[in-house]
Amino acid sequence: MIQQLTSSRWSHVFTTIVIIAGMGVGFFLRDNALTEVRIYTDIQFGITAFYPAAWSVSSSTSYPFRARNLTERGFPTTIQITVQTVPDTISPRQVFDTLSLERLQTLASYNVISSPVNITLPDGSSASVVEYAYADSEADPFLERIPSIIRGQDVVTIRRGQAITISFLSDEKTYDANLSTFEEFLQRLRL
Amino acid sequence: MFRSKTPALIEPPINGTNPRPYAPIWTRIITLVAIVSAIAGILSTLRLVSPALLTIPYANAVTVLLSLLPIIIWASLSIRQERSVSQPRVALLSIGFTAFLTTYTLVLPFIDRIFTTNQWLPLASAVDRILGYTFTVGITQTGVVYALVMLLAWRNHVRYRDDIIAYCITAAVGYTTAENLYFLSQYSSLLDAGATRFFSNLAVSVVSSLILSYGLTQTRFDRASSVIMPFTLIISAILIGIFTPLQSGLTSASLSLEPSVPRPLLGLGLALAIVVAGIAITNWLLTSAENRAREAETVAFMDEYS
Repeated sequence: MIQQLTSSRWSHVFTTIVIIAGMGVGFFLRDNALTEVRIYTDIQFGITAFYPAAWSVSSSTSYPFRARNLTERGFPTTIQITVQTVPDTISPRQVFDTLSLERLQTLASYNVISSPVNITLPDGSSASVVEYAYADSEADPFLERIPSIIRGQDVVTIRRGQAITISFLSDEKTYDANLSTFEEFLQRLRL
Repeated sequence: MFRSKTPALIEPPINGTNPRPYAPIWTRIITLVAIVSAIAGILSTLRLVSPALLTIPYANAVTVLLSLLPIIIWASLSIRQERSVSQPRVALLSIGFTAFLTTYTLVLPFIDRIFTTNQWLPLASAVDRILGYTFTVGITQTGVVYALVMLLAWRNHVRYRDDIIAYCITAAVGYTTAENLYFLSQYSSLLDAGATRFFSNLAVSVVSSLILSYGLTQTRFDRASSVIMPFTLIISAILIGIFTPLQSGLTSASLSLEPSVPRPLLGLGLALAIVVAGIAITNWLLTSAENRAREAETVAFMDEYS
């Protein structure tokens, strides 16, 4: 009887250890998956970027790089790089103005919510940042959904006669939580 | 708490058999699974045969009712059966409702926000998904069922092997019902899709709890090795880890250029196969263990008086 009680007690001790250790393995797997990055290289535009492994990457004629988190419900958090050939005399402010004029015609309730702020990129070059917001409605009219507010920021740097715009877009509700992913992306970006 | 109508006396043996003073558990489990699977099967068949029949008023309210069905059926069966025996399982209600409330308010938000499985598991490879679900959802669910039985029943309310099965299944039913309601609070669902999902949740919960209860009975009533209990807990978690991605993979429409549609009956069939096989295997294991113990008791009794 005493042996049975002792065995039972050890059994519960082992089970508790297994539960705690198992959850620890779960956290380890989660951290590995969420912090895992993949490399993207574009020789034509000279871009080397590290993006979250779970995100989906695409490119087109209008942008050489776009990564989106398609696992999110609603608007997928997006990081996009666009490259435009510009005159050497152009300033980031003029690039922002051109972008704003385009977006005012295509995006609902587009609003710039901060004036350009100068920052220094990790490679030592200067860039300007502007924040903005707009209302995103479902493209398919049959899917009834209340429009969501999308908050974004553009980081513009001009080099080699090109205006490189790095855009970050996220649902306003998850913007702050996702901003660290964008900051990590900027830290590792090579242009 | 259940209050028995009959006095706490054990009935005398009839025709050489020893009548049990506690309610049977396996018929209750089979009845629960049969009713929920039949409803899911009927609704899924209606979707394929005549979808217009599923366009009913208050469909959302009916879906919520379907999500609550496991605990409603289990509670009504338990109350009816436990009241008719001399030694009812008095901790059933407290375990069921504690499992339901704890899961809905603490466990599922913890899985959703801390493990954030939706952010990294859906796009992972097959092996990573199985491992991921095993060590997040699986280990948490089995851990909750184990903890509730240990805290609320183990010391004072476990008298027979069937008691452990009853308490484990009750905790699992409470967990499943909370899981169903939590799903509806996050997503909208069609009637048939919801019913299929609710049955799948119930099927995997029932089987994993039966495996867990085998480990607990071995620990409590047999001189089993102290690694049996953690081993059965891991097997339960792995079952949940395998079933979760397999179920969604089989049910969802395939991603191809050809036209494809969701296959709810395939998912339903898988859940049914798992629950039938699970009940059959665990029933055989638990019955064999009980028979062995009874034979050992008889031999000991004969040795003592010979």
